[in-house]
Amino acid sequence: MRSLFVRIFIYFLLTILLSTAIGIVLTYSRDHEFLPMGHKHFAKQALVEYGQTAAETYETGGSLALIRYAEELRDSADVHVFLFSSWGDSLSAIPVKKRIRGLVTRMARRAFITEQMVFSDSREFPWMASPLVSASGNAYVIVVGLPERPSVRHIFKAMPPGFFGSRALIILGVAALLCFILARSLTSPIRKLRRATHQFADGDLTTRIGTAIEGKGEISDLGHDFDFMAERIESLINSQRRLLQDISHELRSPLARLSVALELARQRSGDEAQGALNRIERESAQLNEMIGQLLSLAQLESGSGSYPMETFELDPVVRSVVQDADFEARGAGREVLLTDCCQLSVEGIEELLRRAIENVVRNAVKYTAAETAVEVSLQFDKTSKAAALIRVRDHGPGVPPEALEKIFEPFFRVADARDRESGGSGIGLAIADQAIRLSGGSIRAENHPEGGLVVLISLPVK
Amino acid sequence: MNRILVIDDDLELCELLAEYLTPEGFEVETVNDGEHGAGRATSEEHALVILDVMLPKMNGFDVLRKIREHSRIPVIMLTARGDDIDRIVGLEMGADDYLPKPFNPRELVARIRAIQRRAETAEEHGSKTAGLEQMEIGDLLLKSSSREVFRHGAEIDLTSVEFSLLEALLQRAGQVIPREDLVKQVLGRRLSPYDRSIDVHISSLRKKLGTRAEGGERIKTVRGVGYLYILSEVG
Repeated sequence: MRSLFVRIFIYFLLTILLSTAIGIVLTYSRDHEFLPMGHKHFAKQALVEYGQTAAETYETGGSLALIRYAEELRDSADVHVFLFSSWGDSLSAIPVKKRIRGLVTRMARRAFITEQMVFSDSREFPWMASPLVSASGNAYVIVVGLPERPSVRHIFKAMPPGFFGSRALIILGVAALLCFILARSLTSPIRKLRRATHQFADGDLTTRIGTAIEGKGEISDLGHDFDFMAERIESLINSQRRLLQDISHELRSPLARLSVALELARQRSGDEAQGALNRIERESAQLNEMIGQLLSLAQLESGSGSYPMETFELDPVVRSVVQDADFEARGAGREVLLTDCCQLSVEGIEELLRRAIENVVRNAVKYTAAETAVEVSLQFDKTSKAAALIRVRDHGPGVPPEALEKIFEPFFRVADARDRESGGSGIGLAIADQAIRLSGGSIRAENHPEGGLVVLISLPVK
Repeated sequence: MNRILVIDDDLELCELLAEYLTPEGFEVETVNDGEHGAGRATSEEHALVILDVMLPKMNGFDVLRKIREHSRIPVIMLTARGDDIDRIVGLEMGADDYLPKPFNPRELVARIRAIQRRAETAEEHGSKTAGLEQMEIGDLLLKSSSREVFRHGAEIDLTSVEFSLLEALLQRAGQVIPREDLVKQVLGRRLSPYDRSIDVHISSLRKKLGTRAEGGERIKTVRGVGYLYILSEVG
């Protein structure tokens, strides 16, 4: 699609040129269809002059000379001349159409009777008739027919010489300039608006149109509306950020006190309380974990965190996540193995992607059966162009097919009892999903034919 | 000197901490606002500062900056958990360690003791060698006794952790030192998963040292293993 600017420019220019052309044609044909009032006197003079010449030719040279004169006029100027004697006989017998012959005879008679100049009413045939007296004193009636219908080539012939040179160029130039200014004045504020929208979408929440769009009108109103909207969004996001920070602080302060108090209680109580105290410690750790996860999920979903996109090597990230997770898993009698790892650079947010991969791997560790290994691989995806594929496979119970998509929703639980036992917060995978999507990638899950869940993360390769 | 300064606006947490730390053999002074805290921290009456990041009015980073203008007293920062940016900024500005809040007080005590041990070995080291031991590698001169580092004769301002880290790297310059060893030797604790503070200290050290005289990085990362101080061919 061509730009709005080009479209407005071309449409207006064409309109101007077209209406100019139509104007020229209309004016020309009107002038030729019928004599304007102002020209009637002039016409009369011309008519009398033609008549005098014709009468003189007839008186000196007879019918033959008159016919030659009439033919000459017809061929050179497309003007038909008929001379009638005062008693109504046609003196020049040049052949014309029957209809015209009738018209001419009628007009000659009318002129003779009224002794006045007569114009034809017909728009089709611009004819005039007038009685006249020659120099020798004889009375005649002259009838003159102008060209029957103006043809297109006459328009061009009638144009003043040089019209298609400099004058047409000037008209074209002025029209083009006006159209350019018009198109610009319409589209440049739209372009400004667009730039501002982009800037805003890229995260600069302080973007405002302000007075960048001048004047009054729909587009400048749109600019004001944009400012209003930007103002609202900015204050909403800022208050959300503040709220998240406050929640983080307010919820964690009691937890911090709780954990210190817990240790004090541990010091001062006997062995029989240790079990319960351990339980309190575990639960408060879980509470803290959930607060953290919820906050990062809220941050990701609202887009209120600002994360710059960067190009980075993915393989060391995967390697270090696997190393860390393996260290953790070994304590629980499980393993995390890196089965395949090729060198790849991807574009995205390293910190977020690390967290996403970490969440997926830790989730797998949680569900894989004891004495089994979670297998992680990083490969170049051959099926789709330019994608890195991370596969995380566990040897756990898998997920019912209908829940394969739902496990990426916050707080989705496949089976309550087992999940509570495994101590998940229920939002690790939701965070992974959000984080991967922010980097332009995708995540999905499928059941392995030999049992266990496979999570596939696809990321755009740089 | 076992006096510890706690700067935190949570009064009750301060009370609980004092209650917990006193039987551990520490004398605890608590301050509830940043400005006052920075003043107390530079009074040279304390062995260590525990500093909360989230403080009303003057935040923890500003307090740390103010402390570092005058003093190299060890600082442990308490950060909100998961705020990786906070963690990195804190360490790069010269905190000796960080602890995400809420923390286990046993962990806090372990960190305090690790920092103290490091300071003690440094002192012993210093007194034993009595200003004699110094290492010169390339354009760097490291004086263990005074804990000073010079590059081309100009002193580089390093925090205590950074100094210990550089010392560890230089003692085995040209060899790869595993991250586990560095964490143990420098931070005095076992490397746990997801603990990246040593990497942050390394990056901060790299920034302060700049490139080698002949160009190129001084400290090389050996992926999956650890770090290596590159011996220059000339030096």
